[in-house]
Amino acid sequence: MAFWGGNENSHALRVIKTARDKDSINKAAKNGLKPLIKKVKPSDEIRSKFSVVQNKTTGVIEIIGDYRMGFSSDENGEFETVIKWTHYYPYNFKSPFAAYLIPKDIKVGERVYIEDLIEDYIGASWNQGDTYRLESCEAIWSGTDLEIQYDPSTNRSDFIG
Amino acid sequence: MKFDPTKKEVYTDNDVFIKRMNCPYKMNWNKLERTNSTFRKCSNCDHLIVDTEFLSDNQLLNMVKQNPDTCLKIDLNQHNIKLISNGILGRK
Repeated sequence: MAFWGGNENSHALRVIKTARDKDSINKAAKNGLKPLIKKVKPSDEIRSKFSVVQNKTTGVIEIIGDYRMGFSSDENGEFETVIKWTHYYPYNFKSPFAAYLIPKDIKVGERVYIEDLIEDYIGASWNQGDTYRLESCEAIWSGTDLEIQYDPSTNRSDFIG
Repeated sequence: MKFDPTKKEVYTDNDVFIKRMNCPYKMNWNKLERTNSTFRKCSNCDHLIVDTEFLSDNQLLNMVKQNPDTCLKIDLNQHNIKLISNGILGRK
């Protein structure tokens, strides 16, 4: 966890950092930031899929996430499917709560950039039906909360980095 | 090429790690300056961003080895990529 700093977003907005455990939250509070606590609630709309195939001879397994990955599981194939295609929530956060670290001098109506969103919004979709979390988003400070400025049209399929 | 969207890690088809993607500026491909069909330019850090859709595993691996700061663009729907789930499923 790092405290707010830098303008690492394309609109040069103030960056709001997120703390994801008790120690980090308390450290931020002691450093003059106001932690805005939120539950970490996985969304049903975020989902990935997997299947597990197992080598019939060695017992070694492979996890498949793409329908196009060719592991034959027919009678004569080397592998057999031991778990059919199953959907699951593909993220795992260490704490069921987290906090946005709000600077003391934030103004009501100020537009900010949340670097690590706590809430689940769809950020990327794949044509096989899998959906992934939006990592960062702009928000407006209402005086008591951050109003997330999620735009569903930003749901994309490409990644940069 | 293989890609894990949860960890943003890129591998060759033979599971050789290529790169973990991270853009601190959260740039949008459609808003980058077009230089040619394979590259676009980032105005924030002056890097060229490579569209991986038309690269082989070897081309990409060599490019990143020569310059580990190479920025990549991967589209989940591009033809030469398979998605993997190493995220929480592969955790030891």
